[in-house]
Amino acid sequence: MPPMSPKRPQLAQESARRNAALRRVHRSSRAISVAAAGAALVIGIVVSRAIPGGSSSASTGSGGTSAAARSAPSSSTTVAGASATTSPTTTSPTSTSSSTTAPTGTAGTASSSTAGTGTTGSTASAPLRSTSRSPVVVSGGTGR
Amino acid sequence: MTAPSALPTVMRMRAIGTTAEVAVTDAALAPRAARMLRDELAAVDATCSRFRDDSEIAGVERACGTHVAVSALLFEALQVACDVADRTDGAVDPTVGAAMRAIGYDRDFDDIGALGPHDSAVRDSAATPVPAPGWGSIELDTRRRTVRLAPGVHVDLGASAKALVADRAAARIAGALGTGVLVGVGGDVAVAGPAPDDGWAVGIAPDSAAAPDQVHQVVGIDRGAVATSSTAVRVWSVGGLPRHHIVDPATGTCAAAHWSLVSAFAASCVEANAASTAAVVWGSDAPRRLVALGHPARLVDRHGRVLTLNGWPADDGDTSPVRTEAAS
Repeated sequence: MPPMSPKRPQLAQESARRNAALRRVHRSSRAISVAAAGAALVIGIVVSRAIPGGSSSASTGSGGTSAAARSAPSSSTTVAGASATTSPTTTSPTSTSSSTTAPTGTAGTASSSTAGTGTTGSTASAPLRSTSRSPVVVSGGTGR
Repeated sequence: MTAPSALPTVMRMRAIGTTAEVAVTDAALAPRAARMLRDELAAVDATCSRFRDDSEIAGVERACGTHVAVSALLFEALQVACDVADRTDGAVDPTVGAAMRAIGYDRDFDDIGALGPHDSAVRDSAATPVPAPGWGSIELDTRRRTVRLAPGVHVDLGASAKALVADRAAARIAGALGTGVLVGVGGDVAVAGPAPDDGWAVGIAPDSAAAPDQVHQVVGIDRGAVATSSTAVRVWSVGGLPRHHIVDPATGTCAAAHWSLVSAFAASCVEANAASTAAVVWGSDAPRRLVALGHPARLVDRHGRVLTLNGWPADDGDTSPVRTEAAS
């Protein structure tokens, strides 16, 4: 088996237009990565407020809960190099249960944390927001 | 310009081993939009499928070692796949075809569930993992529009091709019909044209086939794309060992399931898919690399803990900017 080669295939000009935006992001990301990744790794990215509505704990499998669960007061922990906000318990607004068990057998506790500036490259004006409306479609793993 | 209806009209179809959807803001245009999406899907299937002996990429593989003139669509798909590999430092590499076969994913996923213990896919899955030779083994000649694969290289365009279809179809439908459109292909979602007044509502879930009451979060987008990768769906077992469809090209094995679900938002579906898929492969290093890329992202680890990056909204509808402070 030949070694994995970093050689980059020649790119066609017709793809340059579509990829131009990607490359701009890539280039700017390289520059910003010094500050962004450095902040994450050296001084950490800390969310200074507790997230009022933590994510549902049922994060795997198709039997997850639908409602966004409410997180208990949070404590800080580290998740994969970024400072994270961890909620020790999660309660559903529609249930008295104190936890939700994911189908894969993971613990019912959930955490939610945020990191990054959200101001990089094409994402600076990203029209991405949470909404309570019913979804038109679902973005998920490639299911059947 | 057509007047948007109160609710988008959604049409669904089966294609390339998964479900595809198209939604338009003008209900009268839905049948035409569905036909256009179906055409795009059929074209990419005939061109890029590794499960069809008569696909164009299968012919290129049979001619390995020689330059082969290919269609504009296949050339574009290969360019995109190689560019994704380049931008993800090889975490998403189109030369994982042999690795996918070695882990048992050698046919349309709809047929894998019926495998018996003596099936070739099951037997082969016990074989040594096959690391990807790397996208440098794909030579693209832009001027002649030819492709040459190094001998023994097998291509799997599944990671980027469906995202490319979503981008292409959304742009084509919006341009031809003058309507706002959302296209979803196996969980990769792209929008184009004028969005509904309150944006397109996109659910986030481990399975793109999840029912509305099974989604974890709903996000609204006006443009761009959302893609999600999951190690919790498209799974099977071989000899009692679990398998999923995201392969680490460096090892040829299923990527460690550090994250069970990763969603990313980007200007295009190809970008979003690259980020979400690469994050699964990057494992614990994913947050650092995603922060560097700058794409808003939501990651769920195997314990159910949620991490949002780069302005991906919290699950409670909070749209205020993420406030960050340096730790003292």
